[in-house]
Amino acid sequence: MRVSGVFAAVCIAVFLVQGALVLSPQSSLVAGIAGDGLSVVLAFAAGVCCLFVWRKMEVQFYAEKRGWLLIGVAFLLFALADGIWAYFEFVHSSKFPVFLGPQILWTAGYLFWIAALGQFLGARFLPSKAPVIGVLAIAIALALFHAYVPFMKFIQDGHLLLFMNNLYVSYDFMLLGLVVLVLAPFVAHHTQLLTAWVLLGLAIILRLVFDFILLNVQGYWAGHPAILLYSGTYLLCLLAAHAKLGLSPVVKTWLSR
Amino acid sequence: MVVSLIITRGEKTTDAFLAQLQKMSGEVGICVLLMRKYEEMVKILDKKNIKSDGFLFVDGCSSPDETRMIHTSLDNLTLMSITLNEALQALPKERRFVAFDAFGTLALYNTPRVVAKFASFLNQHVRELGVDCILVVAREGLDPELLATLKQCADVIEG
Repeated sequence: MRVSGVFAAVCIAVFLVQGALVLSPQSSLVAGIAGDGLSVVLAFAAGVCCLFVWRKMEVQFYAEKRGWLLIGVAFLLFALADGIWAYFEFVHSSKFPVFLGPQILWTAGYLFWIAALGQFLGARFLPSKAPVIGVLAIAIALALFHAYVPFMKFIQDGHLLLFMNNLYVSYDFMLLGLVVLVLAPFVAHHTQLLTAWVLLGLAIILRLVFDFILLNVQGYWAGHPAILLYSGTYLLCLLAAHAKLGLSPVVKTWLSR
Repeated sequence: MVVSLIITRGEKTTDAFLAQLQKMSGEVGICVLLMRKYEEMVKILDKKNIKSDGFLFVDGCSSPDETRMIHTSLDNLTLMSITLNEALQALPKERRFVAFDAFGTLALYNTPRVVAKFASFLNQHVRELGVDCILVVAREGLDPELLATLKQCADVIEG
């Protein structure tokens, strides 16, 4: 079995354990550790698996190769941020652990993720730039619109943490725009070689749903069932990287002739 | 790395394509079928005794459920670029090629300007990868702008 296959199998098991612990009646501490702690493991594994793809890909596919590097770095930053957050939350029982540390890492992770999707789009043939510009203009407009009120509040009261927390939705709008462009060619047609892209797209959609829940549900706690959407993002990205590292059945059949 | 443009009469495109595949027999590459289905092409190749074991077929004519080739779409060139990219990544790194049986067919499903842009994208891509590329086109009815772009991209022009 390939290394990425082992990673995938272990991470599916970790995700199932996390699901069982979070969804079954457990003490809040166990659910919290299962929710936040195991997400760190999945984020780290996803990041490493994306870096495997980056290492394996030929240098001539430079845009896509760079995209996998950026996405790998993004997930390692998420893993680090999640890890710092979980450590201070469970070891030091601190609600806002080290002030801006995790926020800066999460923000950097989002920016790397957005940049990665930009690289993936750049590797494709686009008959016209108009739809790309249109979709991105809408995404940027929504992102700026959402960031405006928190920014004004930040100017008034200087509450940076609240402003940074609100910016995640703006990043989500950017990711949503990019994922629409990434998945658009597959809506009406499909081929057998698209597994990685579809999984990557679904992963982003899961993250968007999670952030939406986080923003709109009052009283989010460590070990909330929505954490499965959060860690599901990492699992799907890991599976996307695994699919990218492997060969589709049609290519396997061809190679075995 | 050579980009070859084969310009032929409409009824001779399959023969011209087969002649190119004959030269590539035993090598590893991608055959993009835009005019004939995979099943039909394999039968013709067998009949002509052309060894096709090294050819990975990307087919725009067959059903997506066919599992022995990679399906693509004739009217979605973004999808085709992704499919070719993925297929090229799957090939061994040694000498490899990509061959189109009737490149002009794409102009039936897309505007000639977009197909010309796709040809230019493909040309840049195969040069970066060091992949041989063969484009067979029928002379009749081919848009002059598209033909001019194809000629500019090609290292070798036959016909």
